[in-house]
Amino acid sequence: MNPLLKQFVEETREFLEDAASGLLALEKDPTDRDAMDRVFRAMHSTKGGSGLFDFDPMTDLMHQAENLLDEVRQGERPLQGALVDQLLDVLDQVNRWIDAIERDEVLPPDAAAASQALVDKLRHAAGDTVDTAADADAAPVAEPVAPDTPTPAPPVEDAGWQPEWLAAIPDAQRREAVMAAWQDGAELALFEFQPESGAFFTGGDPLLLVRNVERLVWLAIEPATPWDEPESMDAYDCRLRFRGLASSGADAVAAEFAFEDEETLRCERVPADALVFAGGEPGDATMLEEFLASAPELHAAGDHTALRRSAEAMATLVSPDIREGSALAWLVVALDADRQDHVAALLRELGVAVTTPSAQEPEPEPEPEPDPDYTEAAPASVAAVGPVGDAAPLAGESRADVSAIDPQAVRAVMQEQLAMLGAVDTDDAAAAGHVAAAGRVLKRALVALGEADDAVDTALENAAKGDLEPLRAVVQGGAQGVPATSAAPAVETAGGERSTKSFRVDAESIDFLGDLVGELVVAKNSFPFLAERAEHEYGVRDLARELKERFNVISRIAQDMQGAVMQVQMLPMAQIFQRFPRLVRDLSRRLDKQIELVQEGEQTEADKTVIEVLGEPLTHMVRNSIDHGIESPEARQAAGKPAQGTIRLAARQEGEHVIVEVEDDGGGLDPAALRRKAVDKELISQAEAERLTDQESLQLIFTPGFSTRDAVSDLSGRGVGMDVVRSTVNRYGGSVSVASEQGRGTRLRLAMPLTMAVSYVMGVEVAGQLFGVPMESVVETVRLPESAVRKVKQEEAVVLRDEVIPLRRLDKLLMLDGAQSDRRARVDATYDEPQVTVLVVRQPEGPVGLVVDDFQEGLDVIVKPMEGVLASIRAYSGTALLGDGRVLLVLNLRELL
Amino acid sequence: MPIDYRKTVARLEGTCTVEEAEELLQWLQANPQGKVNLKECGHLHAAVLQVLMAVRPPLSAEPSDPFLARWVTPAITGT
Amino acid sequence: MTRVLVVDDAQTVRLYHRELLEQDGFDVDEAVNGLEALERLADTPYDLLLVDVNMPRMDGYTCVRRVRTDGPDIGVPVIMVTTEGAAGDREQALSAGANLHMAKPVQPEVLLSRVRLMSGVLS
Repeated sequence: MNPLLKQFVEETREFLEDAASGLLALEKDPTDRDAMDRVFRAMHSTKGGSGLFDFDPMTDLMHQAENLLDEVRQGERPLQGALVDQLLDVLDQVNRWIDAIERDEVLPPDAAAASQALVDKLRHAAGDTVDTAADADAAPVAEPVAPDTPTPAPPVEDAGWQPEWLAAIPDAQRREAVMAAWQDGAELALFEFQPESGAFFTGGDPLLLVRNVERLVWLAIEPATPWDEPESMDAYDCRLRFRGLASSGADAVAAEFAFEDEETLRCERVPADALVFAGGEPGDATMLEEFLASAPELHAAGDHTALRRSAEAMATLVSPDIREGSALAWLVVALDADRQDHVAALLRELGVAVTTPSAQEPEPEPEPEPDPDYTEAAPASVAAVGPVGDAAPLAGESRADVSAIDPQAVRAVMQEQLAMLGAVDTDDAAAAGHVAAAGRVLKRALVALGEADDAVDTALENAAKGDLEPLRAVVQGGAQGVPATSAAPAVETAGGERSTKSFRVDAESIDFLGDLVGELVVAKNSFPFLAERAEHEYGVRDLARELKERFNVISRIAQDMQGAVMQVQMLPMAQIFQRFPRLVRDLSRRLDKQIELVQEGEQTEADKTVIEVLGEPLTHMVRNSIDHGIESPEARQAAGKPAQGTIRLAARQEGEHVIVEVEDDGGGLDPAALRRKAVDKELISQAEAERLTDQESLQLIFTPGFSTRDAVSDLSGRGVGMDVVRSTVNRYGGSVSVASEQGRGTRLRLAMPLTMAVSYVMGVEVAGQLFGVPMESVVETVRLPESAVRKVKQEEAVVLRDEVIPLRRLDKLLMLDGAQSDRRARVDATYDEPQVTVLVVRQPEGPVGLVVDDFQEGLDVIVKPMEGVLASIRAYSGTALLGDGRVLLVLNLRELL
Repeated sequence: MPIDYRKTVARLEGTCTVEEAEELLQWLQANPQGKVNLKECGHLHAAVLQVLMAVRPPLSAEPSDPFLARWVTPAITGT
Repeated sequence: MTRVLVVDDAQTVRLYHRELLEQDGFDVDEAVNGLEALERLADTPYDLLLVDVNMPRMDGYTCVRRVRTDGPDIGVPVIMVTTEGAAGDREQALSAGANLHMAKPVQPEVLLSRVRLMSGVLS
């Protein structure tokens, strides 16, 4: 896809989101000028963009929506719920088109019909009966856009018809047509003929009509909608669509279709200029060197004959299927017709720096070009690249150690300073100490990041008075990672003279970069193995030592890169949150509930992957709150609560975790009912149920197979429960907990690591296999004499520093063959009796000892979640590739124990 | 006899009309391996063309008619 | 020389931290509880305190709060390390005046990088 179109797709998505959120805000408060302006601006910009690409149905639709909205804005029309619904439908439709454009680069074939249907609905929703007819008759392209802002649409009077499928016409046919126009003065016409579905019954032959078109230059016959399977095909349901280009003029073409109306036929003049563009993909241009060397001079001198000769000679050497070859062929045509405007443009396309010969008065450029590819060479600004923010601490003056800390960690520490300041009252005796301490750490952090710290002092003074905002700005100040899907505004620093440029990067490239860095981090792990081999297999210790040194250097660089990439991959929580206003609105309407959604902390950032993972579980949790949590208005009033319920969605950063809470003020969970249900479903026994405290009973909602309602509800049911939420979150190293008070509400809390790129795991050997244990759960590793293991009934335990620690044999837990565990109880030179090797891990219930065969060193690994059938094996949280090519299974201790 | 149905090949000859579409479709449904010979075909009705476009049988011979060869064959063969 | 005070009642922990930090070029002093830490602070300036929570005679929270209120250096950066990692630990540490809360077991690299950053050795 060419950069311009890509830009359009990305930008339009943002506009649509803006418009949708603004509409919802407006519905809540119709006097919200700010929201109104936002919606209006977003719709207007969307229309402007679609106009640029000739996506007529989209332009028409946005135009209609904008007109209506303008009437609302002028106070001429109230904004009722029905109108909001329709406008949201419009946004949904445009979103689907954008998806199609991203995929196919054109609107789907039914776009015009869909657009018309929605335009009609909009009028209906607005109760507009006055000038429907007048509007409907206006030709979409010629329809003037809002007068206040000029749009980049082509000049109306001379543009003719330039549909997006112009680009589908092959080079050769376009040249044939253009030559006919330029040399013989022929008028070119485009036609699109889509007979109605019953056309075959009326006796005519659409193909014969097309066949009779004179001087047909190009014809494409396509299905207007996809074919059915041959077995179920209806031979007489006409699905054909004909598109063509003829050099006999629009009137002559239209005459062949005398009995067709504008429903089925569109036939218009197309300016020859619109057909002049080089096709094909850019190819190998090395052949062109000679031409490129001589062309500027020939062109500047106005020696067209020589230029033509040179271009023609070159054209025989370069394939006409690649962009350069096509441009050369066009150049010859343009030179023959002495069209200097095109000559200059084509030369530019070929990479020739063009200076307009002074003698030649240039004709006005026939802008804008219909095909976006054509403009590719000119606006280099689209791809203009600035530095990716200043966050990466690569500044040369810092100590070498700087590289050991990643910028993201620095940000996390900075964030904590805000939390510390927020945790103390301004009149507290310790407040001055808090401020001073925070200030010192913040300055050091900024220095470590290589950023200016001059704004800190003023911000601290404000913080001392209880206003944390300026300080917050400082903390977030340089944190302008460039989230791929959102625009990072140019940021002026305190001095105002330096600004951070930003540019858009498409998310895929960043993912790719992230993957590459991840691979690098893992690949570097092969160095220690190599050093080991150098030393032991080949006996070259010097080389081994040198390898280890190099390894340290590469490690550090890889770590830096990782930090930088992670910074770029940070996205605000708003990415997920923005879907909820719509969800809450739609579902609460359907359920006749009144719910207000309060969102906090949308700007909290987390790794892109984390954000992506959080989407599903959060949606499920919010749906649960709407469906099961908040009661009907009647029930609420009966309980003495306001009729309108509240769902609070809050995100914040705590240390190196991001916390998201979904809280409702609904009916809450009934522990007794939960216990009963669990017993009924035979998830626990009656005796077990009786032993559960109320708090423990709440945890039952996370049990697989548990659902709080009998009927699987339309909304949150579908057999997916909180157990899936929990296992999803656990799989990515997060956790979920619930708190609830009957009659008062429920709060679910999700905690996810801020990033999940690289984990530090400890390798353990069991039964000859290697497994990984997340380092954060490892408390210690000990070797004990076998006799220290005490048996209490079936259970084994050891006493470590006066604490009884239950033991689990990892080979049994994993159902591995214990006989292979020859080293489990082993005797060696240093011990008199057999020893057991125990890995003490932290669990919510207290430490647990895992009996393993041996430990290995800690490893940096990229843990990939289990996929396919393996994903259901809960004992493992993922797999990781080791430096020596082995695959490591990482244990999910929570599930295992 | 504009369409001559042989064992594995349907030969379209002269001008094929709208009435032929249904029969051709049935023959192609019954003979999934069937080929179509367009050599002697001068024109075919859009309904017949539509059947060929949807089923996309292999062509045992392309049309000699220039209009069909130039614009219709690509629609059938998908090239 | 950058000077760090390690405050912990467990000798092993003090030793571990001392070795870790000294290897990285820090100058390390030790105190066995909050009270002793305050005494040391009275006559030596430190660049950073690494403070445990549960200690006899004076716990970490009280110690840090006293530092923030009475000085002598009310702004000295403090990292508090807690054993349980229970919910609420962090809030308590931050409101006492710690700049950062870390839950055991702490990865040595992470601890080192935070100490480097907060003690100003990078500046």
